[in-house]
Amino acid sequence: MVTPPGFSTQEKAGAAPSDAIILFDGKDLSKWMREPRKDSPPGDDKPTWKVENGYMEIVGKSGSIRTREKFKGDHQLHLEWCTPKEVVGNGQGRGNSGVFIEGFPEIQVLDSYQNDTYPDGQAAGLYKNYPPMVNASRKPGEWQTYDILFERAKPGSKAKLTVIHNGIVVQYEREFDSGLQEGDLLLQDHLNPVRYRNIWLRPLRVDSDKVGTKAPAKAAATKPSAAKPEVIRIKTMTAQMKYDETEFTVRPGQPVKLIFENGDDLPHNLVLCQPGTDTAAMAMKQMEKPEEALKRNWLPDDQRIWLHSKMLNPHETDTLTFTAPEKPGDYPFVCTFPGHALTMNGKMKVLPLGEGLRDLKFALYLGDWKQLPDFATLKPHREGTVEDNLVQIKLDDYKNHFGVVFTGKLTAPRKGSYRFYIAGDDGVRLLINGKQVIIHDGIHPAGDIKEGSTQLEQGDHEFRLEYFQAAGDIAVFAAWKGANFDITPLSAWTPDGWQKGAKAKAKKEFAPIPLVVKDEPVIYRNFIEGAGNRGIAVGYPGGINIAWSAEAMNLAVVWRGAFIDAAMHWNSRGGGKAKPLGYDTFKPAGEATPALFVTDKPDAAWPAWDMVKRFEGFHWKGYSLDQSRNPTFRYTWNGAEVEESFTASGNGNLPDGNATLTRTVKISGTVPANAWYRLATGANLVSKDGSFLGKDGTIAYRITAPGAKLAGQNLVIPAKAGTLSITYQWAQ
Amino acid sequence: MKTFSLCLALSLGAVNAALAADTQESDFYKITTFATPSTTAMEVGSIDLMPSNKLALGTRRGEIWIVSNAHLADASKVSYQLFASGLHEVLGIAYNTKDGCLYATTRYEVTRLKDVDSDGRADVFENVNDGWGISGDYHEYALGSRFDKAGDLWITLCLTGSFNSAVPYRGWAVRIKPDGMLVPTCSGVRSPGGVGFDADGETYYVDNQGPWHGSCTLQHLVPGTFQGHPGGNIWYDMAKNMGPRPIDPIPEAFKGDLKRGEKRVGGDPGRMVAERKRIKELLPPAVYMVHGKIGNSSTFIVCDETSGKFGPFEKQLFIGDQSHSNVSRVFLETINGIKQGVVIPFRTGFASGLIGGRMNAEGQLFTGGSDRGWGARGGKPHCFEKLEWTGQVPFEIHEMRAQPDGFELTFTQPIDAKTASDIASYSMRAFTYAYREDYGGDEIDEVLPKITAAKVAADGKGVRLSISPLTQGHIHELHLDGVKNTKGQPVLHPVAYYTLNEIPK
Repeated sequence: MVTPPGFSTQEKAGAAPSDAIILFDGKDLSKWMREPRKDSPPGDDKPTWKVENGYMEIVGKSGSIRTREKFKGDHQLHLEWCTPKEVVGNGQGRGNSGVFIEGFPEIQVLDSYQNDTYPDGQAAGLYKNYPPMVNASRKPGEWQTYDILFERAKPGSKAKLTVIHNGIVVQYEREFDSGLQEGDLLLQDHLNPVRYRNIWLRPLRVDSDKVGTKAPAKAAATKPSAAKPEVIRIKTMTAQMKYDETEFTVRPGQPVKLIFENGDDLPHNLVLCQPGTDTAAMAMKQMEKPEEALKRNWLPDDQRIWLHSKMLNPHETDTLTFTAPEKPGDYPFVCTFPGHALTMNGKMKVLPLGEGLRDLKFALYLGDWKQLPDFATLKPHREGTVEDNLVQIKLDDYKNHFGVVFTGKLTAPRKGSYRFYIAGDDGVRLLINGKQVIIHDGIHPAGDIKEGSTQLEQGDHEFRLEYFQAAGDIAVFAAWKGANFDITPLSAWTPDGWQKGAKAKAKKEFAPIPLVVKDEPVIYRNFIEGAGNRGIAVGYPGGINIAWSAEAMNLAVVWRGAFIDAAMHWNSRGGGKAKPLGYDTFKPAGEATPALFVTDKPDAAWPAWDMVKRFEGFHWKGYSLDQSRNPTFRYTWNGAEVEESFTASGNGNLPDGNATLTRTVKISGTVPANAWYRLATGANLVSKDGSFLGKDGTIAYRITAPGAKLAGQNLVIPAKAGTLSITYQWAQ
Repeated sequence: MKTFSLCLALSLGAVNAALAADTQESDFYKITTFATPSTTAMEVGSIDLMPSNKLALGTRRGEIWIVSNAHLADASKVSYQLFASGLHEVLGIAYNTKDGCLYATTRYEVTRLKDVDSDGRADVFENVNDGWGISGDYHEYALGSRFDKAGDLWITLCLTGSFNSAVPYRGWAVRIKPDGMLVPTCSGVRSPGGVGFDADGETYYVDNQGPWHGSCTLQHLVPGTFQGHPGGNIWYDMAKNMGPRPIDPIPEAFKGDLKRGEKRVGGDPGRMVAERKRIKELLPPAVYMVHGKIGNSSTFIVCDETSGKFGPFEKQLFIGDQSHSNVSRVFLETINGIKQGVVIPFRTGFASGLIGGRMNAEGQLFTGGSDRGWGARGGKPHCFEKLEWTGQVPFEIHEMRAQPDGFELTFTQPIDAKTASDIASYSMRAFTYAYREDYGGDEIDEVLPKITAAKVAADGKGVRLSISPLTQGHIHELHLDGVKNTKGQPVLHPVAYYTLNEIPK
């Protein structure tokens, strides 16, 4: 039994039914939190909409409101709304708001009474999806009702939405591809003072009508076994500000055990968010109220977070056990400790497997071939169906000198490009609808996977895999992949690394050889990204690193955290440019260019690199190490002699703003007239509080140097005999 | 038990183990493998001698290690001191007796290293010369020598890849003079493996099989000459001392539209013997280090100047191979003003791919290397080893000299007159490689000369072979399977490859 709702009138809202969750009873917004707009003023998470006379009214720019709770399963949502009686604006600018049920499109709230707009943008329209079947709008200033029935996706059944507007069905069982099983509700601040009242929610089905629900479809049986969770290991790397794995894939609904290990000397967490979350912005936002964020141990108070580890101290481990979301998509994860989110992030891909083959048959041919024969001209020795609809060789009589043609049906779930994979010992060839997609002919072992793509219409397609065996090992592999499903084997046997397709072999990765900086600077001369081919990287104790360029005779790269991974150069033939192993990398000189230049226009472009002539006038002299093995670089430029040394202070690994690189430049000898020493270049250099702020991508840095000035995009000092002192810091 | 001992013998001596009773390489030359510090991969790229029996090792990882006690019989006494690190591949190390400094040849610079505070670690790294370019291609190695008698360093600069030169002096040999000046010295280099000197102080380098040379080669670095690969000749304008740019090889010798390895219809017309007449600066390889037979990747060049402490091969050259993890022996002579000679297998069984090598005055050949990037038969990723003469003289060809009508051979031991004078004890084939741009190349233009006479010398230690015909420009491959010494033993390495650039008049 349930007590039915009371009638609502224009004056007064009716009572909610007895089994409903009341979301707004006209008195307070305690069930709701503020969801700020981009232009919202700062504030806490309490909504600031007006509540009076039994309704709430949107205060423009204050932000939308979102339920604090998420609701699992299928529901009936009732709400009443009213657009301003005084008509202001037209089209979408008139009484605009919206109801968002997570996983569904916006259900438009708009004054659609004699107000033209695009069809699916009118009231009760499923915005950008479906217009209402009829326009059931009342006049502006009158209360209108929505009864919204939303059903989450079930095996064999999509998510569905029904909307009843003022008692009239205007959307009926609209289907959507969302696999989401729970979600919150949101009422949108679209700047217009729309009112809401009498909001409640009740389950769509209660126990008594359970018999009416459909039995779970067969597809459930193909789900991964609940008993065996997928184990994912993610580790943070020492002083590199990154996770060792930045992407992993799980199946919808698959049990997952995520073992998160902090291998770094700083605290880190791992926070999993809903698809589309701007994790960097989310993590950055909590810095607006650092005291509160600190109390929460740097875990943002954000509804988009659905799972998180503890904030791990150095060398701690946490294990998260969860069921992967049903909804396919990229679920970003991030470390929300201050300053980490830009580099410490990744994504969990939720991607189902595709369907398998149907009606798989084989035809066996006998013959001794070195290449695939034209099977069409041959007579099969034996034919039959294949077990489990998986390509496989189960021929007890024949070990050598035979061929098999597999034929079956494959259903493309939608029109689009599909990728196929084959491997075989020996030759193998795949045809779809009679057209060759991939061939790997001849006699060979099965290790190499070959790939090919083809366009398929939605529906059934003819699969044909030709295979021959000369002698030795017998193996055959086939798989396919679509835009919305992961690589799926079509054969009983799979080679090592099949999940990555042909790339698995092509991409050779070496175990890292990190050069560890202990109590004295470490020097590494090699190809360094940003410092050219005569790069000299120096890792100073305390997590501050530079690369000096003996091509440009200039400081080229600054970064913090870990120094360099030599694996690229100390494996195989040693090619390629090594990137900083740490983070917060910036290149004050942009592309490696000299500091010194003669010009009467210090805002001019500095000379560009010429591989043959190099930078004219510069001669590299080498470096010497002082007592603490700090290098001093030396070069000559025309008549001048230049010495440069660096000292690092503070801890580069701490976000306390104290990490400082101090550069001392001694110029002696004859310095040409109109000579300038350029400290930095970049379009976004600005002067601030006696220093200069620059940005390299997202990395902000501060340069302080007495006598420096901005000339256009160049930060320069007149070059004279004497000593320059320049400090570099990371700006917060 | 008998089966077991036979297996053991087979595993020890790959070349000559068919009969367990026969002598084998290790009876005469002993390899000692040193333990190296576990903190590094001792990928030896260069070695030089230092005072007090010390050695300097330059490595592919850019380190310089000072090694003590490697000369002692007890290999466990060896010790290592890290002198410098962080250099960009030390494929040349040279100790300067005048200033007591080490000079490292790295990818882009000759660096002088000083230990001013005498704490055993370098603290001054001076640029002696960095006058050649580097474009960032991994192939652009720089291999440096030790100091020659004039105090010069010789540096061979690998091309940018196999065919082109992106920056100055890639594909050249240059000298760095004592005052630090760079002197462009020879063009035509492709992918050098090592630089060294003979007993007269002449300079040689080895080049790898690739474009223009169908095999690794030992080449005489005569200043002003063109060594065969025209890829680096675009820099003649900058090298005024070298005179005008040589003319190119014939157009048909270039790949043109052919793909790599694609055969030219009718074969490749280019031949070194013809082209060196046309291109006056072109110097033919002194010795072809026959591909696949002598090795696949020649490296260091060491001359035995120990007056017998390394055995009977005084003043001959010993050349390492990275791929085959072996050392071969070269005897050179000058015919009509051109260096040429013979290469003979010498010692296999080193632990990794050999790269650096240096012999001390006591006849200890120190060597080492790695198999990184290019596989090596040795099987270990890197090694540091010592090769010493055991005091036993192997029965080997000692020298092989060209004659107007054949070859004159001497042996390390008295020969059995009966077998040595029997022409059936010998066989010969001759071949050459096409001189053309495509990578690698087959042994072509095969000639099967007749051995018409074998006359044993009066002292019983030599034989004069009359050969018909001799083919100029061909490698003459001589087999001596039937020749025995007076004890009835066969020649330890019964094969010799003589590069006949010139036939003596």
